Amino acid sequence: MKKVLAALLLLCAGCGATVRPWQREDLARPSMVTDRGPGEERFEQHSRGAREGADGGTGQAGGGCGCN
Amino acid sequence: MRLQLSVAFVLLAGPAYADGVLSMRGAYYKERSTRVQQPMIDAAFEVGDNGRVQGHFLVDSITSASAATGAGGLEFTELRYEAGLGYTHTLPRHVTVGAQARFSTESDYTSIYAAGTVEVALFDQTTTLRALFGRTSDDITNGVSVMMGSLGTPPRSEKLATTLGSLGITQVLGRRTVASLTYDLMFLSGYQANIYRVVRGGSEPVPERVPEERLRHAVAGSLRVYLPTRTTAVASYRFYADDWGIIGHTPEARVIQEIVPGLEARARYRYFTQNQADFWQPVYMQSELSDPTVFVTDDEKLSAFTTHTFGLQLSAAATLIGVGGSWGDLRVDVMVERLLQSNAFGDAWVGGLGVSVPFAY
Repeated sequence: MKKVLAALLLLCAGCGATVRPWQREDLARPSMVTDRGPGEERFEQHSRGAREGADGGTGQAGGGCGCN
Repeated sequence: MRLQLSVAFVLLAGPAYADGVLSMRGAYYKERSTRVQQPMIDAAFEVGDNGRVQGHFLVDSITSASAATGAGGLEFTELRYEAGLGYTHTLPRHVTVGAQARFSTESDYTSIYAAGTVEVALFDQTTTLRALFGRTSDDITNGVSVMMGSLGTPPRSEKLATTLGSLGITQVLGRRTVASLTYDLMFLSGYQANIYRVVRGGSEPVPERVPEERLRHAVAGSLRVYLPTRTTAVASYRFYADDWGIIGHTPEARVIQEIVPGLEARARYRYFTQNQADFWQPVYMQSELSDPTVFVTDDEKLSAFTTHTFGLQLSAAATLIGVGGSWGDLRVDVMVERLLQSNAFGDAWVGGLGVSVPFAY
């Protein structure tokens, strides 16, 4: 597991080495960070959780209501 | 005294300029037997040099004629209130720690959620690692059924605990390309059926019975690219598996196009498919219904089905109509989506209208 993590970090270090902070104008555009507001994302996650049995993968808790 | 007042003023005044954003939104969902209207308000603002507070409040108005609402198949409107609060603090060496909490209440369901987060940016901030650990505690009752006056309906209460662990990584791959990967592990323990839903098929309907434990895994990856045509293209895929036997796949594509400065159009297509839970059947035999050790359910969410989602959104800034200064950053967006669902829920429309106002203080 430690070897996998180390390999992953080395790979990441290689990926990012060519992009300097002053070359990130396009990466800083709002649409490159997220294209949806927090309320929009929350509403979608909530309605999907009430309608789909395969929920998750958002890094946030779903559920929390009686709409199942 | 003068010194004390001066100190108090300095402490209360805080930073001279800090940023925040206030968003108001109305969301709408309509399918064959259920309609949801949700007004919500979100706020996020900086606190001090390294802190950020986020909060939200919403009201869910759910009108449904489904038997699963506990109103005996009659149209019934229920209100749910939810409030959430979070704080993140940036430490030296690009480490950010945070805590978040959420409270939701309705006539038959109360939920409390709390979580802690940590985020580390490495390699000139080209790699960001995230971890979240959270726990939800839910109290469930058959309050609607009792409230609707079903004479002799005994009150019932159940509990559900959910533990969530999440790991994520965001990686800059080039000047215009960024990728992210998230793995969520959720363990649910407690009452997971719908307290009102019954399963028919035999001589007498029986209450739904599903396992009391569920282990859910979800892995989601996305790739985001900015093209010279002022287009942002997003491709994502999510894989889901749990120990109830459900496997799901969700590929999605989104395009965000800047038409003119201050005006954006967004389009999306999402495909969702899942197989059925091991114990889900369209019809159960009488022997299965009357055996309390056999799991029986009428929950469409546990059946095999597919959903296609088509969405369009327009987002405009106030600068588009000549508004200058800080009010120029005010944005309005309108969204409409069509969901084609192959199960008994039927097709649905989703709409949204939002306003966000950035502010400095």
